[in-house]
Amino acid sequence: MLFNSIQFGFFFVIVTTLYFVLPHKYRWALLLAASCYFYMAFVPVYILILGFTIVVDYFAGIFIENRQGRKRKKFLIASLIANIGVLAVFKYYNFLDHNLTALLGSFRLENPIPYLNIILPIGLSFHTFQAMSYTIEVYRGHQKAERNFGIYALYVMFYPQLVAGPIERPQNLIHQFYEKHHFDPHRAIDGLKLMLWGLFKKIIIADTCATYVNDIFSNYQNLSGSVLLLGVVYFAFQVYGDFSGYSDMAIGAARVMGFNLMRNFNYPFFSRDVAELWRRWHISLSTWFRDYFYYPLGGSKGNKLFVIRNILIIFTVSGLWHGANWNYVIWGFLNGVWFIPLFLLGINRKNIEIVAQDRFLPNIKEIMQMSYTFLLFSLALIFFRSPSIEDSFVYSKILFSGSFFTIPASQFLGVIPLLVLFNMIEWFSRKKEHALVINHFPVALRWSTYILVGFVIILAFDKNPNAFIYFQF
Amino acid sequence: MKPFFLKILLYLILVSGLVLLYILLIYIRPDLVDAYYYRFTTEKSNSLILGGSRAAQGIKPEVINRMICNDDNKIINHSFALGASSYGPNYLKEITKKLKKESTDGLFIVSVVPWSLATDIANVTDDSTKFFEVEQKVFVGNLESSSTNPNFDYLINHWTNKFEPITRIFKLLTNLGGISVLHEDGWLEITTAMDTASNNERIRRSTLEYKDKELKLSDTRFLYLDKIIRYLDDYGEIVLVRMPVSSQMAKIEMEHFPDFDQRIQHIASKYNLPYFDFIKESGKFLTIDTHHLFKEESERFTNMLCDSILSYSKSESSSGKLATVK
Repeated sequence: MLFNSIQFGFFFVIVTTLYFVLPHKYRWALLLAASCYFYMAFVPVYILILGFTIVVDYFAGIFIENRQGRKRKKFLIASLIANIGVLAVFKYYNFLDHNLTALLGSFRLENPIPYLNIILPIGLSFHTFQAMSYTIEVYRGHQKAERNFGIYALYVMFYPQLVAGPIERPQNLIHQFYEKHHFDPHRAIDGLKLMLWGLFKKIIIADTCATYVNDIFSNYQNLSGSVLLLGVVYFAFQVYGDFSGYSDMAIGAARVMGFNLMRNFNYPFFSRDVAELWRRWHISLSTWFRDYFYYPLGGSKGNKLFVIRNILIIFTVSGLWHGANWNYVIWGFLNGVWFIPLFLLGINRKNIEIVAQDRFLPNIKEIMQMSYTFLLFSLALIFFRSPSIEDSFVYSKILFSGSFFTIPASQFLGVIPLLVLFNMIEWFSRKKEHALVINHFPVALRWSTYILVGFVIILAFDKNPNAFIYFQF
Repeated sequence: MKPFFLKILLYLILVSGLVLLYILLIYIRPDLVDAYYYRFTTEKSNSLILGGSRAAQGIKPEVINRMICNDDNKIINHSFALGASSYGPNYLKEITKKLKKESTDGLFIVSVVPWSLATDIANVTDDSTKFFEVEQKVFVGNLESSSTNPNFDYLINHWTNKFEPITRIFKLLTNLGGISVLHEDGWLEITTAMDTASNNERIRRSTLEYKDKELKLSDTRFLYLDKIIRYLDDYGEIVLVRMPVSSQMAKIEMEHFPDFDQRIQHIASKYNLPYFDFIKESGKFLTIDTHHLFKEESERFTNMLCDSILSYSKSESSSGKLATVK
């Protein structure tokens, strides 16, 4: 069930209404049942995989809390192995098998390990990482083991963020299931506005860009470098609209019911360097890797070579997290490479606050910095979008050929006014949570904006909606 | 709680109101919807121009109505595009819906293009059963009605870009960029960006697209052309037309389909129909992308076609055919 479908509209209204109608003690059960239904609407049988990790981590949490010393670590490791094992089987097995076949093939040997004919469970990497953060936090003593199995299951399965995040921490989410939420009209309206804006980003920005991107990437060998540059720029907006739109809808849906989910995007395209961009892009994953992988690896405590190693490992593994494909690995590695000069120059934490904090417009230097950062990010996305490494290299080669300096044909320029408008809206909203926080506008203008956004969404609405890119991860 | 629900209700009412206004605009100006819709909102007709996009853009009903058809029997252009109106079961169904079956003195200009009478060698092994337009459930032939305004079946199930009216109004007001205007008589007028880059890109794409196509003439599509002719034969006179293209496209078509003209000639002889083959005039008309005529050239070509029809109707070989025309 996609957020941008009519079914979800009905589902959301029914679940939210029942949530506030039911007595508090039954609400978690309602949310759990709704989350199961939501997940099973994709591929029902995969709920068994989710069930397996939930059972393992639930008991692992209790055992970790009840034990002392090295035994605690053993249960943590068992839990991590179970979670990573599920990922390994369902996400990485065929990738490894395929590479083994290629490796053995180069020695004219046959690979005896069979290929598994399985479909990747939807959102597997998201809920597995969320489950892992629970046992790690219990192990670290930051979170008490949850005794109510239903509440724990709900922590992993909470439907707004089940299939594409934000990847929540137990400290932020579990206690909220115990809190009694009263219906708050202001909060509900704020949540609905956030959902509306998320839907706008998905349906208007991402899906519009997708038609251009699909056309350009499927026909790139016959197009000029300038058009290919537009292709990666459009894809950057597509991914942003798609994923941040999903996150907005998830956070908004949860907020209507009274839950606060963590922010996942914070205007990443207004970053002045790559480090800032990664602090603003997919924040729940970046911080997950930082807390549970980068710091345990040694983080920034060591000589420069050691830290560079850690940076490259983190970015490369985060690339692999996205997909079992060398393209994603290279994409992650490239982003690590973009990051290193900032670290070497000691400026990777230079830009913390939002750009032009006290000004209306950015200065020339900031415009150059933002453009450069956006371009670096977009160029790496060639590997993210292309079907193979070979395609990525050929795409890059054509992009940087002499035809880069030609004027793109007008048929590829149609989406530019929309993106300019979108960027302007985002720019003027950059100090707020989202673009529809316009309470300072006169009533007529405010209402006109909401109505216009709703109207364009209805116009662009497709009864066969496009899936979200990040569902596949 | 109550103000919350009132606000939500008011919001839904206002958004729905705006949607209704939009539908009203479409009702008043169906030409703003896209390059096909208007044809499904106009009344049925005794006389039709049939074919793909070449005919849609290149044959002007206005000229034919002025030179040939009388006021009670106006012809309309009911051609669409290769992907929608190739001769097959869907198009036959569509013709039966759009034709006013009340008279027998209609005129049917059937434009023949090898690409719309061909099948993909690589993907189709048995072309007797597979029609891409059937599999893809294209709008042509699949609408409940082909003459209703507003045509909700089309608007809900087949309209791909619902912002098109806004874009068109913007382009009409600012005169920016290329635009297609579908006239009430079904003629599609294209005003396109004529900058060198866009023009070259169109020509390059078109040449590439057609040059490497692996198609063969399809017996089944010819069978449907045959069926359409037999069907129309009861309602008036039929002329077969092959329109001129650029010399590059004519060469590509000759290489791909050397026996196409022969097969059309065969059909023309079989049913004693006139076949006006203008492919030999290729290169003498300006095209926007090697095979669609410029809008000014459409006028010139339709005049030439009318002259041919009129000379034929006066000739001995017509044996009284086309006598119903003006």
